[in-house]
Amino acid sequence: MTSFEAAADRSNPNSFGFAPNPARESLSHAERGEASKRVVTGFGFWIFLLSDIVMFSAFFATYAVLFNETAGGPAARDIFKISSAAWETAFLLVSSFFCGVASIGSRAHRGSLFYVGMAATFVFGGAFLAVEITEFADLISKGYGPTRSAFLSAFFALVGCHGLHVSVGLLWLLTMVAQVFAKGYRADILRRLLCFSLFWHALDIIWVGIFTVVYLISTGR
Amino acid sequence: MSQTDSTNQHHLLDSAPGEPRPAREELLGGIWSYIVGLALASALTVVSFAVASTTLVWQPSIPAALVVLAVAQMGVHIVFFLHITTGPDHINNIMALAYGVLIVLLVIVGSVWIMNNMNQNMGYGHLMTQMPEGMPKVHIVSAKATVSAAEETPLKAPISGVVEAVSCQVGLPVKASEVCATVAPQMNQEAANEDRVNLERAQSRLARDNASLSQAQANVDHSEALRARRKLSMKTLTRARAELDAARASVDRDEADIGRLQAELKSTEANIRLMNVVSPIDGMVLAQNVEVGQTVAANAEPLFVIGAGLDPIQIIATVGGGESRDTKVGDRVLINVNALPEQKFSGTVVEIRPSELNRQAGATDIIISAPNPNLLLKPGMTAQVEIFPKGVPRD
Repeated sequence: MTSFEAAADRSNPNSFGFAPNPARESLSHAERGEASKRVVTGFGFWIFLLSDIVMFSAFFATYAVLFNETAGGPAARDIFKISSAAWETAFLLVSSFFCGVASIGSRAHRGSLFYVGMAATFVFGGAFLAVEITEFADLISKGYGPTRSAFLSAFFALVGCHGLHVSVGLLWLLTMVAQVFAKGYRADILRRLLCFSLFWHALDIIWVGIFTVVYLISTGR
Repeated sequence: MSQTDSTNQHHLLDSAPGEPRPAREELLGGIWSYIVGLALASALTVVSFAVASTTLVWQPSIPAALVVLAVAQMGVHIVFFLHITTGPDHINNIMALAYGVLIVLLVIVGSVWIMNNMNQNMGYGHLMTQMPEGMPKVHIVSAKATVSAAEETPLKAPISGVVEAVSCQVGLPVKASEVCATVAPQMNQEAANEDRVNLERAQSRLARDNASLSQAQANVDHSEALRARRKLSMKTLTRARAELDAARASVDRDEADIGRLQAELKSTEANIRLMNVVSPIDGMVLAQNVEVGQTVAANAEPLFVIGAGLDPIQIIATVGGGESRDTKVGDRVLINVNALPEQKFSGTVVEIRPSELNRQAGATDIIISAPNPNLLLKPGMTAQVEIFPKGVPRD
């Protein structure tokens, strides 16, 4: 079986294009018995992530409403640099990819894959944060801090909140590496790792919204 | 792969403790799914950034295209990275996702809708259409305006000479103490060369005199030794001592000469260093009246004009007498610069004063301040401004 066939493996429910298994489908949803702890944990964390995304949607709405309230200060097109947004996007996407690699490594109990993946996730996540902090510092030093106008308050609230999530994620990443290092690939630790990787991928999804709305649409003509 | 195998493998991904680890093929397959996701997401990102800056399509369609691309990319993330698919184990996840999307749409679309509606009903449009009869009508002042620097500094040549290099260009920003041009002062250069030759001469003279000094010293030592053994006349010894004193005196004179010449050279060289024409302030070059090879006189015509106070920059609109009666300091201004028709700028009225140019006509200058972080607005540009009054006048 080639790796591509493995990816498209019809029996793997996590694969794209999963075909229902007739034997299993004949059971009704309730008759399949209790879901495994991994599925339940994933579901619970997914609910948390969705509520987090709902919170972000409020920040997005605030930004959209206050977009023109510049109070004579700079507007989006005056201050945002597309290039730094492009770097941040690239860093976070690559970081998300390596997070996936690390989660595969952990499930296969492959230390090499797990540690290298986590290290790369951390490095690229850190690079994202560095670019963002530089951008914020640059804006504030020019006098365009969050107190300058309602528009800038909304910008710093939205992008800053995402940056805060990334910072927390990096701390979580370190604790997860430490847990695996100290306790090994225990089932409960693997479930925490599942939650971490869900969290990290969700941050990338929110960033897609940010770079589209804040950087690309706002700075358009 | 047999049916049993596939059923077994089905459980691997939600394996409970003690269940077998995923096989190597599955491991590789998982990575392949991430690679496909990374490639798709990268492609969508690149397309997004390309679409945002393209001029090839109808401009108002770009935000819609960007939103579609973003939604597509979120889909890619959800399927390839988060592995939320339509599989039976994911029914709960999908239901939660659908509910989340519903709430997100309600919050964003609802907020934007309501706030836009309120802005329309409470903004200027409302005042203009529904103001009671008899009240003075508030109207938008529209006027021609000129972008100007708050402060203009002429940059003159500090000394006469020939311009050797010009490094400042009209329209480009300059930093304080940046060299804008170099003037070669020929006379001072020659004087410095002369000083250097004199200094070298004095140094070689010093070396020579030092040599004769040590010789005289040796001679005195030798003579004293002979005299001690009474083999030399007192007269000869005295002569040797006199020679030593003379040699010492000429060395001292040489050293004094060198000190003086060094000081002279230093002051001449300091004069040469002054020949850089240096901008005294941060700003932008507004005018350049000098070319390489041109001879300039000291403190005559300015070589450059440096404008400062460019961010925020001021824009001066001159309007006829009654036009500005509703305009107040703090009013918002929309600025259309003729040279940059595709960009919109905004500013605030900071001062209203009688026009200096058309005082007789009763014209008014409205001074507008506009943020200009990228220095797109340059002094001398002409613009059309629209000034929006804040509300109904109090009187």
